[in-house]
Amino acid sequence: MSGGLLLFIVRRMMIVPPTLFVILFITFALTQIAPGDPVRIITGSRAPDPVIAERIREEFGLNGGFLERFGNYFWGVVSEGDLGPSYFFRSPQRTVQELLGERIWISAQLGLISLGLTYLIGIPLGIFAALKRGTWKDPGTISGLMVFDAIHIIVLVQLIIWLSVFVLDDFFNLFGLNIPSLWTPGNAASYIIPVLVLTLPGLAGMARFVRVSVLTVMDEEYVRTARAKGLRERTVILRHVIRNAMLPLATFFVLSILTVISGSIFVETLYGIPGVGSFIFRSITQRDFNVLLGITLLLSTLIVVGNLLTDILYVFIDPRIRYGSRGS
Amino acid sequence: MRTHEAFGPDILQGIQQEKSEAPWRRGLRSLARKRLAVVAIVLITIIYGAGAYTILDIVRIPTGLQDPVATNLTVRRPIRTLDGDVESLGAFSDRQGVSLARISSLNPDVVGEFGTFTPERELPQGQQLVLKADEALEGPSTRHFFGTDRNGRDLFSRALFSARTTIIFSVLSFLLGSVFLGLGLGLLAGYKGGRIDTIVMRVGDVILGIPGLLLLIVISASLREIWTGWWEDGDAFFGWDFFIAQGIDHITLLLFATSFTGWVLTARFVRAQTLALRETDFIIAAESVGAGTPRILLRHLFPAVLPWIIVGMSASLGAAAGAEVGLTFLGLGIQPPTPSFGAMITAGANVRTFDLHPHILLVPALTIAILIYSFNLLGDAVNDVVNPRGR
Repeated sequence: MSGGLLLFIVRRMMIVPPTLFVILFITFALTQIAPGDPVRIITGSRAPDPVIAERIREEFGLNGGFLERFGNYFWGVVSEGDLGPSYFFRSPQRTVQELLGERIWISAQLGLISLGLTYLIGIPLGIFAALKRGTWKDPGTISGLMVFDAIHIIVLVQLIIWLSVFVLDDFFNLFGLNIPSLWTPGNAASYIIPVLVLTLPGLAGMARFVRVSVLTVMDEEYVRTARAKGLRERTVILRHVIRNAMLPLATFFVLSILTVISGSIFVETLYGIPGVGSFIFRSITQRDFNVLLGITLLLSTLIVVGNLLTDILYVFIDPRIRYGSRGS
Repeated sequence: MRTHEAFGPDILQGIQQEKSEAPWRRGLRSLARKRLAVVAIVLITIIYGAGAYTILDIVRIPTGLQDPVATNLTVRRPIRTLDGDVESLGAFSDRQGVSLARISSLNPDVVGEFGTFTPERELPQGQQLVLKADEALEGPSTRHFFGTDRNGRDLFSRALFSARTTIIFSVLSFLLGSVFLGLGLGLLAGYKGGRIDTIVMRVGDVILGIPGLLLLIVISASLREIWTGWWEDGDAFFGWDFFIAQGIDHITLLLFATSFTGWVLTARFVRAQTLALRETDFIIAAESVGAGTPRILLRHLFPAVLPWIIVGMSASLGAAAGAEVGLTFLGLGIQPPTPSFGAMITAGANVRTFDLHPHILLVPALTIAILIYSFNLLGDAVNDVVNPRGR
């Protein structure tokens, strides 16, 4: 049995490097055909001076065929984590990994806080909805949360900034809270708006997932057995239902990360947070394709490894799972 | 098994036709009993109907609506030159100040309206001409139900034309991404198995490994120049400038990107269903009487998994509408002359603008939010009908 388990984990891990390699190849190819000629982006001119163009080609390693350039880039990434030079930050010349290193901390902070809150608020609401099945409170909870999911995050940011800075500012001032209308470094109150906006849209999905999970467990035989042997309802719910219903949540983790990542592009841009999300927006407008490539690789690695951990974790959590063959 | 019973093949239907209702009819009936679902359907019908109405405009039938693109060019009063004092003119902020030179490059008709006014003569060095559009930034009234934007364009008309863009884009994206690619590849992978299955699923793994929005960004940012170039080259040959004026080049790029990234989950789901169905009696029976792969896929497996695609349709249409807004905000979606909710939301996405003129943001934001919310409600309801286990 445990031999099969080990085999499953090894096999599952072996998929990761080729997947990442193909992702690297596809995004590299896309960003290479992108502008026609990167020299035009770097110099910012449609017809750059041939001498300067040649120098830039040399410097950025743009000479040589596609495969050669891909080989160089791939080797740089694998051997020393080098994501190449930025097209835009040229004086002094910065590398993509440097630029990302400066920005990732704040994004990770905001993302992790929001993820934590999504779980912290979403799980109780989902359990609540499931326990109130058959009353208006169940669909009321879920469809209430779905409102935040339906409002586009761009609009949600505006509404929340407007509410907290223009309408309720006097109210917040009572508590000595002064929420800025733009990100202010060193002001802890400026975390409030981005965290709120990153948390709200994910709640509906989380609560709904928990609700279905709880309802599924409540239909199980062992819950009926627990009730039949005369346990108090509270004990049944806490011990038997909720504990088991939380297991599938492991599969939801990567999905939550994805929600936060795509949300952060808009939130960071609109709230002026110097993180990875707003850097994506900048690299689009500045046509800094090396940065775009680097960020895609970084976040894809996060997702692919996250999926791997989920699958492995799930085998340990739920021993019933068939790990002999790759099911889904 | 459950699916088989509820939405069985035509053989079973033939036998039971006299006794019981067709399954889809039974499904519709139980859907009609859900009040929220009915409300959602009504709201979707209103928004889609409004958008569909503007299709009349494509075939040159007068709609009674304002032109959503060119109305800013009814600018008649070149007020005066100044350094962009916004409030006194109420039209363009200094950042959005439009010089006459730029306006005339947009549309030669305007220059005609200004008569002898030439930018070189009238504009002092370093200053911008601030124009006040007629009826700019008016609130809702009987003349303009939803008010006007900063270019004096009627937001009601613009919302209707934006709905048209959303409908065209999201319906095509559903057909191409979910039905053609998702259903097609899922059926093929599930039924044929073997190498085809492996390839389809591995490609799916790779696509799911990249955060969805980021992949959309990379695709549309990278291919934009080439893509629009192709359409322009094609224009020289086919003369389809009418479609380019409607923004078809950017819509198709968006379509390609969303379909390319959006088929995987549908395909996985359909594949799992097909794997189960493959072993059921009616498929084995069909195989044993010598039905070929295309026939089995189209006549037997397709009807059996179709309900699941319809469940996914709501989510897919809603997601496409949302993706348009996001990508347009990033400058990668529908481009300015074509009216779209993304462009309208981007124009209003500023807290100070919102505080002064809330209708600019609220009109597109509420419309798209109601649309997406209705789709989500409907999706849940349809899911309950098709798959009652969740209850």
